[in-house]
Amino acid sequence: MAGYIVNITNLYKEYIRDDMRIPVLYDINLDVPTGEFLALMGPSGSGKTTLLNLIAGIDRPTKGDLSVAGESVANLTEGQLAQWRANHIGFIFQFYNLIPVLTAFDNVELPLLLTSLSKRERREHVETALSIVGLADRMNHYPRQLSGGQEQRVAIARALVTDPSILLADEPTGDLDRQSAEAIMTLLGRLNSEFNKTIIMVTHDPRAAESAKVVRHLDKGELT
Amino acid sequence: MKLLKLIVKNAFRHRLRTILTILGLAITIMSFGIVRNVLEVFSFSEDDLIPGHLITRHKTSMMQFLPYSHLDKMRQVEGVEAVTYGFWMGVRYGDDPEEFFARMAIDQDNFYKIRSDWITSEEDIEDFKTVKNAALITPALALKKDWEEGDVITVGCDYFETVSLDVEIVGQFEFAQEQNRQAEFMLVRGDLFRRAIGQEVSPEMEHQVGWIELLADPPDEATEIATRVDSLFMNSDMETKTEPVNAYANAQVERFRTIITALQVSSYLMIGVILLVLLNTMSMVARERINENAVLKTLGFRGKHLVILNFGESMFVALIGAVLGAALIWPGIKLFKTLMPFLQQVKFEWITVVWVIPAMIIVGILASLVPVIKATNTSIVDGLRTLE
Ligand SMILES: Nc1ncnc2c1ncn2[C@@H]1O[C@H](COP(=O)(O)OP(=O)(O)O)[C@@H](O)[C@H]1O
Ligand SMILES: [Mg+2]
Repeated sequence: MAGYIVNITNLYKEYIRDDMRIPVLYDINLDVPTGEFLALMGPSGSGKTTLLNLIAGIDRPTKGDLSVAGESVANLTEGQLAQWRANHIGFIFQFYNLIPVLTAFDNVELPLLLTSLSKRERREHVETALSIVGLADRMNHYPRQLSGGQEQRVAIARALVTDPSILLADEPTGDLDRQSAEAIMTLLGRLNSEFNKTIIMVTHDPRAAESAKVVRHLDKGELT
Repeated sequence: MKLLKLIVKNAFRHRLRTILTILGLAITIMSFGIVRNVLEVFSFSEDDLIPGHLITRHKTSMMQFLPYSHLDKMRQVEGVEAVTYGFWMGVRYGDDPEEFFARMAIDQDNFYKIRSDWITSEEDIEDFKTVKNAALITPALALKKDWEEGDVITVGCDYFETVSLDVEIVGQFEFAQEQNRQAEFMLVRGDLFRRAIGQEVSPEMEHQVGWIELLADPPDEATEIATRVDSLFMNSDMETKTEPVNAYANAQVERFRTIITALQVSSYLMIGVILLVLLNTMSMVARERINENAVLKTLGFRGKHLVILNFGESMFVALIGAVLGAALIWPGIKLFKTLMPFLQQVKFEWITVVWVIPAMIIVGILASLVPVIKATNTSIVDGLRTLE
């Protein structure tokens, strides 16, 4: 469907733990146009992460249709799905999840190692991504030498570096002080307005949600 | 390989743990190498044997000398082609335990008729026969001590401590067997030694010999000829036991059988220890990286990439340990010989080093299975929900 990057129809998701069915998402319908900046809000345990993971193709729906960046994710094999994620998804975690033994540069370069880019091309991409997030001067720093806000910006550069179709962020400011959180939100806002990146962000911080163009609420597994 | 950097950095995440793992591997590999080389001493090949070579010792005690007069009697036996004798003199030389070398006193007139495995020139044999205090040495000994023809050396005997001989080096000899090429060895004239023990120990010893060697002809009747020889001395107080050298060598090995078995078992256990050491480290890695592997998968890393990362890390540690351990085998053996001079035949066999590498590759593969299986079997969402 032209114009939409995410189409979700009658999506149902349950987990099975110790022979117990745990329903998490009920009958989700959601269409996200290209270029959107969507904030998903909702209380803890409402299924926000689960929904984001499904869109990211790191989890599979139990029932329903899910199409992201023109691909019916449920039909792909594990290998195809990984390849698809590498091409289309930029994921930003609450706890940054940088590799502690790699420098900022090497962390951002990681997704590019899966491409056929030359060393020189990779260097250019990494430098561009790091300068977009304002950390070109911290390339050779290790995560432990950076503040939380800086780590999250490196993580954003890592999500950005492959020029993915969509950026998915799971509580990107959840672990940051107010000032750093604002800087991250400004950055995401710029990525959306200046670079036309489609962004879906999970948050339960109303202040963070203000930066988004659209806010949707999730409660007990249902979109309201 | 683009992932190499991450592999190396991962391997040294816990620097102390990795260093201890590598040291553990290296020390065990070194011990394994030493034990295997010690075991080499007890292995001999039938190919190295001289056809028809018999050895005679006292029937009840290997230590007991035999009368010199036996030699002449044996020469009369049908099928006995040649007869010679020898004594073991020991290895000690001076006070420095590093200085030891092996010595035998041998029948200067007949040894070469049987010992075709001692290679020497006609000229050196002639000098050995004619010079009254002659000795022959191996090139390895000449090199180690910087001794040359004409040098006069004072040598003793480990078990008759008052015996001291001034021998003159008249030439060299070499062992035909490949594995003995580097042996540091000296042959001293048997009559000189007999006269010395006659004077220093007791007069009748001048007429005794350590052991007797025979050459049976035809070689395939060696056992029958051995029986004929032994029957000559039946019911005397100097009864003999004659047997083919391979049976003799087997009997020697048999004496050490329990030690050999223990060494063999411990060498296999060492391989187990090597595997456990690495397995232990790699299972810690498996647990610590659950979350990180899920992150890598989220970024688009596939199963094969995680296999490369984990296998690479396991192999990297295994190979550093292997190289270090292999490099320590040779110095380890040197140290071992200084501590235990009686095992001076232990030599460094390259083959033990050559085997370490493929063995460690297998160990590396096995140890990497734990994190590889863990990484590929954990779903991304479960991995992300796992916090270290
Ligand atoms: N992998 C899983 N296995 C079992 N239950 C899960 C799993 N992931 C999430 N859940 C459950 O699903 C519900 C929603 O979780 P989640 O999507 O993480 O909520 P949120 O992100 O809104 O806090 C929770 O009750 C959680 O325990
Ligand atoms: Mg969540």
